[in-house]
Amino acid sequence: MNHVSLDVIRNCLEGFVPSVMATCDADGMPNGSLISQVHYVSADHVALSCQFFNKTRRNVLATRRASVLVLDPLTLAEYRLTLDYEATETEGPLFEVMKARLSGIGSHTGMQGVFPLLGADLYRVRSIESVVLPRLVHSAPARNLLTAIRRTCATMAACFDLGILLEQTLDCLGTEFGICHAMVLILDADAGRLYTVASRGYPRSGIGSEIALGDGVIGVAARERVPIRIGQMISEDEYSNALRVCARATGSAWAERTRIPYPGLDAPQSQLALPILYAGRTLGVLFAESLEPMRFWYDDEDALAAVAGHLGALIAVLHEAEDTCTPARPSDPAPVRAGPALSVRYYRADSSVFFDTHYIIKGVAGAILWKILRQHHTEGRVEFTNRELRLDPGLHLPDYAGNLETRLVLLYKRLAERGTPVRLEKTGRGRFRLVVQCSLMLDEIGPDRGAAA
Amino acid sequence: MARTETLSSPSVDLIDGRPWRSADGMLAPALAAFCQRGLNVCLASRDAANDPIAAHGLACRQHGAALRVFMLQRGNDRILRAIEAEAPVAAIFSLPPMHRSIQLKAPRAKLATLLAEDVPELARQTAALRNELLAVGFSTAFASVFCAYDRHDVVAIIFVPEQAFVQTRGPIARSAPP
Repeated sequence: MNHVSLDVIRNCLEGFVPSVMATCDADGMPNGSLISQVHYVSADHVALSCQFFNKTRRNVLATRRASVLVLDPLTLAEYRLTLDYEATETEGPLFEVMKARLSGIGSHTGMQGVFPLLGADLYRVRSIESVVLPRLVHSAPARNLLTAIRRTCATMAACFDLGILLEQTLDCLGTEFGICHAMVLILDADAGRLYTVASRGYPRSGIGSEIALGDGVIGVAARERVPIRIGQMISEDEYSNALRVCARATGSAWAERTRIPYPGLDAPQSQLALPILYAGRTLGVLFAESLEPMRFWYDDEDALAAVAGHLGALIAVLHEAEDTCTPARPSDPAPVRAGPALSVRYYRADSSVFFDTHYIIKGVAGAILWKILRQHHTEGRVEFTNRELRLDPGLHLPDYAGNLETRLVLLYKRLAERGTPVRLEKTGRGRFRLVVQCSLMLDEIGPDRGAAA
Repeated sequence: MARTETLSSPSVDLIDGRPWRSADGMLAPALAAFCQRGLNVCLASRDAANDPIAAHGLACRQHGAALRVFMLQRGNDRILRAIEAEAPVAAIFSLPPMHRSIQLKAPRAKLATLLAEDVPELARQTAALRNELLAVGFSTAFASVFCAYDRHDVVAIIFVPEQAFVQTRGPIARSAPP
């Protein structure tokens, strides 16, 4: 009886218009209700939001059958789904995806925070009937998403350097997908945080800013390893707020000194966070947002999921490539400026590095910077390889070896962005050069950072 | 799509503290007026196997103690067959965007063709719903097409409500009016 595939009517499931749900009690008396969310799970499953223990709920538990009428908001085509209830999930990826989307749906109906999600009710789709054929012709889409994916992947595949790959990926989101605000964050699994390594479209880059695992759409996408998409946000929304609050609420004066502001939009209307996965591991999150409500639909989510998947594979490949070195490109030594020495302070407690009074970086990237500055200071070294850093037990690199390269990208960018007289230059595959344009005065402090601060 | 300014609650619903039907069995005037003001009408019934069936309605008209709910035949064969077989029916009358709703239920219903008096009422109510949809932020094209119908495709479902429930979304849904 399936005349229509669920895959091709997903626009009906965006939550623009409430759906009509019919159930029966054990005696056969029907009950109707309007429901906020019919969530696409797979070609033959949907999930409905369970928000109250009401008559509909009692009927479903008693008879396990439902009929749902859904409407395509663009064409006004109408379909009737005949559903068989299977189970209710109260945690996990499906629950989190629906909770996030319900937050968006709730916000555009003035119900944000009013009706919490109690569970995600999973239904098998027994049949789909076409009730009303398309009645509106909607204008041609702004772009062909398949072409956009193909061009983006081709551009990404031509990149031979992780930093360039990240930049090109975000450039392609703009040119191919029309996405003006986006960032890539990498997961530090040991710290339970994600840090920004590339961004586009914000007044400040926010390179190095951090989001805790589980916070906002970015943190939930990374923790649950599923795309999180919200189409109608408001400023009070817990998901949009979480990103700002997470970056703001650091808890101590010291933490405040080492905080890099989160770059995201103050009042986004749409957000989409896609986990970057590779070989069963979460590498990070590709994040896009917009001032426009309902900017990202199911097809956009699929398209960007393909880009995020490709990005994950290429990050892994480039990490491996950086482990082997090509000969360094020769260059003239940087002239050392006359004048007072730059005070470089390193706080062992959190591996944070300050140049004079300015915070530069912390964590593994801070430890790397301190190590190479020290070697430069004591041995006069300027040439380094990724491999020697990777093999240094003192750096306490996270178990995933690829974390080194993303830390180096973060460090390159952070130093360049701050315009410091210290910078890193890539000189070949797996190699970089430390460029120091002034004399340095190194000072290692700790572990009592508070006294030093 | 626009947001509503405030949530409705049962205390502002028309049925609060008042009987939902009069001694003569007709819907109480306030409830009848609400149902006929031009709302989003939804229907639920079930087939012989007790499989529920959801459908959209267009409008309704009070006719004595009975309600005549109008709906399109096209695409609704299953629910029309069920009603023809005297299946029970539930109708939800909802003011967009769905904050004030009432549900009426009847153990049986029957099908009928449109009466001459139905036609202007159908036109008035669908026009009122179109205006409501525009007021809450739907596009003109959406509101116009959503409320459009082919009069020759419209049938009436006639039933006498025996139960009424507040359906305004939230934990209080399904509370029976006094």
